[in-house]
Amino acid sequence: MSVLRAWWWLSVALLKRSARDGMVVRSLATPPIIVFGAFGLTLLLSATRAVHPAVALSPELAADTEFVAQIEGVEWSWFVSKELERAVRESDATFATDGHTLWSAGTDEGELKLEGFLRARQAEPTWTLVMPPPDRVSRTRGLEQALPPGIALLYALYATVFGVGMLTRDREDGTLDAEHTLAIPTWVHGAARWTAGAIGVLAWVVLSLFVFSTLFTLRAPLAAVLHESAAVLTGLAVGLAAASPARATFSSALAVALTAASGLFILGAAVPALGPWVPLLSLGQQSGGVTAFLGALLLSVGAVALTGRASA
Amino acid sequence: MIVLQDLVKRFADRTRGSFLAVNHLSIHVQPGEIYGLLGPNGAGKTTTLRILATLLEPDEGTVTISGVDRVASPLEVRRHMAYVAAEAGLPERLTGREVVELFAQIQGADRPRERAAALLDELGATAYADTPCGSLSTGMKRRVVLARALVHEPTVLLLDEPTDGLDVQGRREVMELVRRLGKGERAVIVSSHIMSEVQQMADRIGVMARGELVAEGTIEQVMRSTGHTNLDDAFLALTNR
Repeated sequence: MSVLRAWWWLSVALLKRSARDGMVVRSLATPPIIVFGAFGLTLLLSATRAVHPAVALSPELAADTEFVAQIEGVEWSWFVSKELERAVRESDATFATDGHTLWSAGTDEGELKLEGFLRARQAEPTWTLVMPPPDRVSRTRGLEQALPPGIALLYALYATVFGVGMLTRDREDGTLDAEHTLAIPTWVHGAARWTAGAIGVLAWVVLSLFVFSTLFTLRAPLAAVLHESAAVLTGLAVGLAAASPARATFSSALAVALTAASGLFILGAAVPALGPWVPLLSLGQQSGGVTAFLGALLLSVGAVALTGRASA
Repeated sequence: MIVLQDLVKRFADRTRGSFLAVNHLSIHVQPGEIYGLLGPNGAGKTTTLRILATLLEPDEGTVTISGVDRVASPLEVRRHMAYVAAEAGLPERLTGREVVELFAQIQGADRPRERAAALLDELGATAYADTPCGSLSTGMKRRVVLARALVHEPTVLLLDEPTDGLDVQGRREVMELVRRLGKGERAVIVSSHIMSEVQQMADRIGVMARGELVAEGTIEQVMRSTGHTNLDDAFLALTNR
């Protein structure tokens, strides 16, 4: 009980210290702020585009001056295209139609309006085949696939720096020595730093993923959370392990830790077969993420054991 | 209460190679005694205190604190002992009250909040207890550190150069504090390289040089052994041998 109590209180104290450190808070808050900014900008652009949708028309339909006049009458722009579906899919047009089928990436209101023009043109009750919005993944797939691992890598590197900083800073100013004279096992000090770092960084990772998912399609959100958490925990473990030798200074440990963490990521990117299940190597790869997460926990136990052995 | 027997600690570095930081050191300190550990910089005082504080492992020899073997039962030793290093070791973004409360919580003190407040009050640190430690002066930090060290009522107190970096007034206050803390059954070891300071705090002194204990006894006994009547001359005579 005394060990758990110490672990808890030390972790709380470390979190409190981090929350009062302006530089730490700013660095953690930057990625979600950037994503929120991008989200706001996108909303603004979408709103602007929604006012004046562009319509792709088949050559036959474009020759119908009365129909075209109706479109121009509501201040929509139009252009002729032979590949109507593609025009919508690639966001060149909000709507596209050949008179019988309506491809749409716009609002219900816009669809109804255009459908009305088409029915009026037929001069008799008719069904217009309205195609659902094209899968946005196809257009933004690259971005959607690259961004979450990119954000996770950023946070994993933050976690590495925090792991190094939390241990070396406290060793250099004597805080760690003071803690080590407490009647608790020495591994508790590393465990508390791991806990505080994990909570502090993972909270921002989850927030960033949430913001991201409101803007883009996040495929397999649980796997994404597991992979990214695994990366962050591994970054933290690498940082703590690099700083654990008693003679390690901030700069020497940071050099080792950043090289190791970014090296792992690059290795995973260069040789994908190496690591679908290995934390940090697994970023951006398709797998469930459970094994990577468990691997990260295992590495963390190793790092905490190292800090307990060599921190004093 | 504190027994060091034939303590040896070796270090190795690139410039000096392997060297003896503590060379067969034997010290006995009784309950209620304040023992001054004197010596020039590099004599081995801090290494000795860090071994006692379970921060360093000895290479040879035995150390017992309150009858507990320091090597076999370091956790048990820490329950009886408090170590105050020369560096404050205070997290700069926590207040003094938070630091003392944290240690009281971890050490399992009854009503840690009240215990912290009482200690800060006893040591005259209440006025700045809610100021972040990073904004405190060296003297203020020293009081907070002492309060932190005393939360579990240790029977052994190890103070490494407690007056280091303090002005005249601060030094005097800390020396009075040390005398107060040494009353009762507590055994105190206080290290310093200033003989006159130790004279005011310690009941008995040990003088270290090059890792060895070169003299031990009351101040008068040690001075008599050197043939000098001046404290500094006696110190220099012992440490420059």
